Amino acid sequence: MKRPGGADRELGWSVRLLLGSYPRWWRLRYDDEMRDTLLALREDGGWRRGGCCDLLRGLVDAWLHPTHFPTEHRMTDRTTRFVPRAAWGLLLFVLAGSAFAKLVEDPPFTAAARQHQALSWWGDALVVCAVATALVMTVATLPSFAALARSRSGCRVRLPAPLVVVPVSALAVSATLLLARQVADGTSVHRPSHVGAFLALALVTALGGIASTLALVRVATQVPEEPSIARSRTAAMVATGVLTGLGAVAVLGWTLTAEAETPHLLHTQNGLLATPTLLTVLIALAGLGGAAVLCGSSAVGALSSRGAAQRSSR
Amino acid sequence: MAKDPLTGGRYAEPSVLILTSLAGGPKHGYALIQDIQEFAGVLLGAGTLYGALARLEGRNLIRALDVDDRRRPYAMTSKGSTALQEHLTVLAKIARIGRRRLATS
Repeated sequence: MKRPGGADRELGWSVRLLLGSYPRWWRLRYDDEMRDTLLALREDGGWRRGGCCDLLRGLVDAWLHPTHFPTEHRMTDRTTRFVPRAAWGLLLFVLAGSAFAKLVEDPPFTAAARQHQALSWWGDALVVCAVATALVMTVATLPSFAALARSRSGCRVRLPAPLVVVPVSALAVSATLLLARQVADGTSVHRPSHVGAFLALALVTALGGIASTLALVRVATQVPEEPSIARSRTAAMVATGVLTGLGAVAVLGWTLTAEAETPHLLHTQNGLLATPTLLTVLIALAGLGGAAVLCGSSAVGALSSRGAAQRSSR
Repeated sequence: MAKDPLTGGRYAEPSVLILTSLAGGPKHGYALIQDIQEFAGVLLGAGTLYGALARLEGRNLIRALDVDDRRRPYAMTSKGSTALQEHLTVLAKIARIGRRRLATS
């Protein structure tokens, strides 16, 4: 089912990027059909402005709910299919945790933490959870990288260029912006140029995180699931489920302690970016809670899937 | 077709709209979009359409036929036909009760 040469270009880069970001099993089955349908819609004038949003919704759905789709086309490995949910949960954990760390870096908070030991304790607990999660993920990916290095079962990892280019570009833009901020005098984020730089940094970080997560999922789902890989993946998913949950509890504890001990801290009028308000802390808390739900549900799914596999093998 | 104020123009789930369309015979993706727009006034996006097609295929409610002129048509299975029949029976019951209550109010 090959289209005439160059016909795909009519779809536009954003549509092609979205289509290329669908899971591999999806693209093998539906990519040609979707491209033909989209081309027909364009020719017929039926393409809407919200078409990209619709494709994005379908993309997220295909990654998050692979079990809803035809079994012969989706990943056949038992625990691998929970990897995307855990990966997106981890990204959310990193973004929400970084946002929280940014919010509480100001002097009033460090002073409050020195004064009230509990605040410091909750903050340390979040850091410990983050570090432990990073360590767990590093250890868990080693067997997959070893399998890739050995290239067993004819494993070939193919990554679309955008998934490699976007994180690298994001890092380059971040470095440039940081440099620009260093060159500019003063450090107050209240200056419009600094607020703009901060927002741009947040945007490229988010984009880089999304592209990196897509690349991670792409690699993880292309590695054949050997027993050692399945065990490490399940262990990593359980560990991250527990650690992200503890991270959310730590921030909840921090918020409740701050409200009880130093209520003036969270009820300031200094702006959303420079100093946290109760609202911004609650947004970070919601992000961490969402991450815990995603990672926790993938851990439960992986555990029950392995349990079912062991029962059926007996 | 004017948008329905209750539902914003979406009268049923995409899956129901697709099964209703396929009840009239096999169709490929673009033909489904056109048919659904014609009878329901709903323009399904490609992401929504293929997400629903994949789900229906996964539940064996529809099946993909052989490719015809670069396009793959879909047909409803007997399981899909039964599922649509049951769904429409419930909808018809709701419609009947709604009309009766409107008439007596």
